Amino acid sequence: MSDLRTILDRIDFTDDALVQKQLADQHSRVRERLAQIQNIVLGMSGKGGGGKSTVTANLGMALARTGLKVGILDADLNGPSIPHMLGLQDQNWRPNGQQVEPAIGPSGLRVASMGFFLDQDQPVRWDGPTHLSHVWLGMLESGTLREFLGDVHWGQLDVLLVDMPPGAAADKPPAILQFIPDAAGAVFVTTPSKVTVSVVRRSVAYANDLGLRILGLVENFADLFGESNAADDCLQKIPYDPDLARSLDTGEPLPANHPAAAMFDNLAAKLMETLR
Amino acid sequence: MKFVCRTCERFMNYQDIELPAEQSLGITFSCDGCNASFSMVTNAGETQMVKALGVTLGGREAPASAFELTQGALKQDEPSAANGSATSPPVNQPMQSAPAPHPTPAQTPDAASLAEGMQASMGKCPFANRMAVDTARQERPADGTVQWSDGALRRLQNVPGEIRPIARQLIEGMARDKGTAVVDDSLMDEARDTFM
Ligand SMILES: Nc1ncnc2c1ncn2[C@@H]1O[C@H](COP(=O)(O)OP(=O)(O)O)[C@@H](O)[C@H]1O
Ligand SMILES: [Mg+2]
Ligand SMILES: [Zn+2]
Repeated sequence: MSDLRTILDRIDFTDDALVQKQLADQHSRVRERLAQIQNIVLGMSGKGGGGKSTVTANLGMALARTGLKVGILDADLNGPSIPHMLGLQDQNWRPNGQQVEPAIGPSGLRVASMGFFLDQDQPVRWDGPTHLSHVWLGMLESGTLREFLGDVHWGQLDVLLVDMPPGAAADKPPAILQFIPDAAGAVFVTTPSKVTVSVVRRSVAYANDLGLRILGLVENFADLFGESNAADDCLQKIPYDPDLARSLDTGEPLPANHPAAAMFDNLAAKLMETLR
Repeated sequence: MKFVCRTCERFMNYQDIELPAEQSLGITFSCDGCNASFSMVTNAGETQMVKALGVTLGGREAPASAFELTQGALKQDEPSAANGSATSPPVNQPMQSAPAPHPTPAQTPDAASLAEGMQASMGKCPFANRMAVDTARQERPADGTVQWSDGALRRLQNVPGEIRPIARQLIEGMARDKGTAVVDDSLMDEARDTFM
């Protein structure tokens, strides 16, 4: 009996279960969708609670205020907070066609989030053998992210911001990257600390490993614990602002002339400069 | 995935998929050369993996509808406590067998007896054992379950009221990053060194 390598060299593969074809179809659906999007920008951070969604949501509104066509994909499947921040918590998706219209937020932002599939404040509950979730959960989440990219009618966009799940220093690349190999890059949201420099260094190394360009750093809670330690190349510092906190809580955008809104305008301008 | 018939040195063809037991798939391949026929029987975790591909074995009649995978995979809200993972067979336990849904050619054993054969060997399935090891490794506090020691809570009270919730979140984030389930004095020291 020949060894397997010899046999495989001799025979032709036939995709009679049509699995490969369907996987290819899935990817081409995503590619066609993304072909209409100029820039994909990832909002990342080392840990949760540092203001990644805050920055993503407000940066999105600031970009949209300038007249750009902007989308926000809330890719934080297990902690979707974008809908609430944009006053879209009542959206409820039950798609049945081949694509679904994004929810429309302030200034015409186009928004998609796992939150639109969940009852308010309920966690994601996948129907599967929980004790084996490490076997399948990653694949399922990848599939869901693929659907968020490919099945949402994003249309023509200047910028698609992606609110990534927390964990920029994790040991595995974020699942969504396999679908967006040509993302423009990442905006890293950091919090002030003495170790900011090392956090930044680690983020840069991480991004390099992933082939991601770092578009800039945003220091959130900039004066929360006293002096700021932001790196010099920080795009924007955002201090703690009670009005901003209230806006995030009510889903009511800050008035455009509010100082915090102006900071996001500035961040938006710098980002677009970097992307140009 | 493909099977190769070592006798005929050719790929076997995908033939059929059936559900021999709850949370189990039987995927049948046959060889055009010698008529041999094999059914691969999956356990619950493997079944879910196949589902997570978002494909229909053998091809689909219409293009996938939007969020087909996501919607199909989310747990439907049923008030009954008896649904979900509670009913799934533990991986190293034999699976329940069920009658084959339709008859198979006489020269091959039917799906039910194949599934029975699988039951016997399931405990030795290298895949299954691998999963059991990985499950043990995966045990760490889930998000949101960070506890506070009394001392750490007292120190948190020293943070000005307006920013206390934020400080709390940041420190809990630190705890999660470190894989610890408890915020204690030493973590508070670290938080102070980090943030102040
Ligand atoms: N600059 C800020 N001023 C006031 N509140 C903020 C600010 N940044 C974030 N927050 C609040 O902090 C909390 C955590 O922020 P969030 O953006 O959800 O973090 P992440 O997405 O990184 O987990 C939110 O409740 C938000 O309202
Ligand atoms: Mg968030
Ligand atoms: Zn054969």
